[in-house]
Amino acid sequence: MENSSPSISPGQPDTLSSNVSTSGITAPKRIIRIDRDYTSGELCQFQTAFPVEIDGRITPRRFQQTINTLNDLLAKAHNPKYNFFDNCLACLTIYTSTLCLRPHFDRMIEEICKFLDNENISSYNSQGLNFRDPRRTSFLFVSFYFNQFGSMFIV
Amino acid sequence: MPRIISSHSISSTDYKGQKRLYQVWPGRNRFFLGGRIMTSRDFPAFLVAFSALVVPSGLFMGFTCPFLFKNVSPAVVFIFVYLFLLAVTSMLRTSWSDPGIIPRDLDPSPPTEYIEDQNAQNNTNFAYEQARSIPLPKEVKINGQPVRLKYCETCKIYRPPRCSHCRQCDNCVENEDHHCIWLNNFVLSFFLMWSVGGLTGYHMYLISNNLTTHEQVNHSVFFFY
Repeated sequence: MENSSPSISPGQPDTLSSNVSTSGITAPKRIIRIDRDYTSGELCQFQTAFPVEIDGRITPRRFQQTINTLNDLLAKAHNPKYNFFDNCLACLTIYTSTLCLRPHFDRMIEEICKFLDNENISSYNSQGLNFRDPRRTSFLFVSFYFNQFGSMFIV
Repeated sequence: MPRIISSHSISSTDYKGQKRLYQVWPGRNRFFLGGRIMTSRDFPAFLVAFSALVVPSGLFMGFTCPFLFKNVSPAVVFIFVYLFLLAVTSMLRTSWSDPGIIPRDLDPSPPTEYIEDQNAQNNTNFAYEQARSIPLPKEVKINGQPVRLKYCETCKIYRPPRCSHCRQCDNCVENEDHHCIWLNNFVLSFFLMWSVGGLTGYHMYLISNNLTTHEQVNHSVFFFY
């Protein structure tokens, strides 16, 4: 059974979120979740199914572009060649190499977070959407805040 | 996946005045150095294993190494020190790092199924009904095979594949193999060398084929991996 529609949960007070509004204006928020896509195995990938709630705010193509790039970055992060090299080097140098050379995986996760921030700033915030940091949920799903009145998302 | 429980990069400046995650973490873990080090509560076993590594090595370095340095070769001593440091740092790193603990409360209200109890009287008590509701497992398809993801009541999440709830730490852990490894004996004999070499080879085989020892034991259950 393909889990094609993303699940919705009502907006809950998110004490762990770094996206705390500093403007004092609060708009009702919901959280829309994009679940993992296991069709190609265990590798962490997300479903590209378009959530109908954001229809009209973002085009399906733009959304799919975001998720596809995210999936590509994740596949690159889990590339065994770079990780094998990093681990071997760390082992041989008694883990001092991690002090000088940041592991490939950590660098890719940083890149993913920067990518989502850029997407937020460029397209999504203006439509009242904001991707949350996927590290908070250990990449089990990607979620974004959804301003119900469609006002601009203020971070 | 990126370690978030003991991650220092998710800083406290984002939520001023609120506590850091490790300070309020409900699992059975201990945190040191501002959340940079995490371990379970089973300290005595770790101390025994650590001293079993350090004490014989220290004795060797104290008594045998000066002789070896002068009479055999300095290289022997340097190699031993390098291997000793590697063993100690590996042990500390493994013991004190986040094994991949999944954050809690990701699915606080899962869809549930009410179990019919034929023996029960006509009980319309809401609390009774709640107690008899079990969360339904989630069905996903992995590589074309249908898999049921179980719900963890303690952590309030749907466990991803390969994830297991560790009873000693009271946390759900990604890619769990087993809780702790420590050797009981450190007698330097041929048998131990052979068994260490054999275990190394076996685990290299497992890692290269992306398997865990669970699959080797319960082969029929995990055949689709």
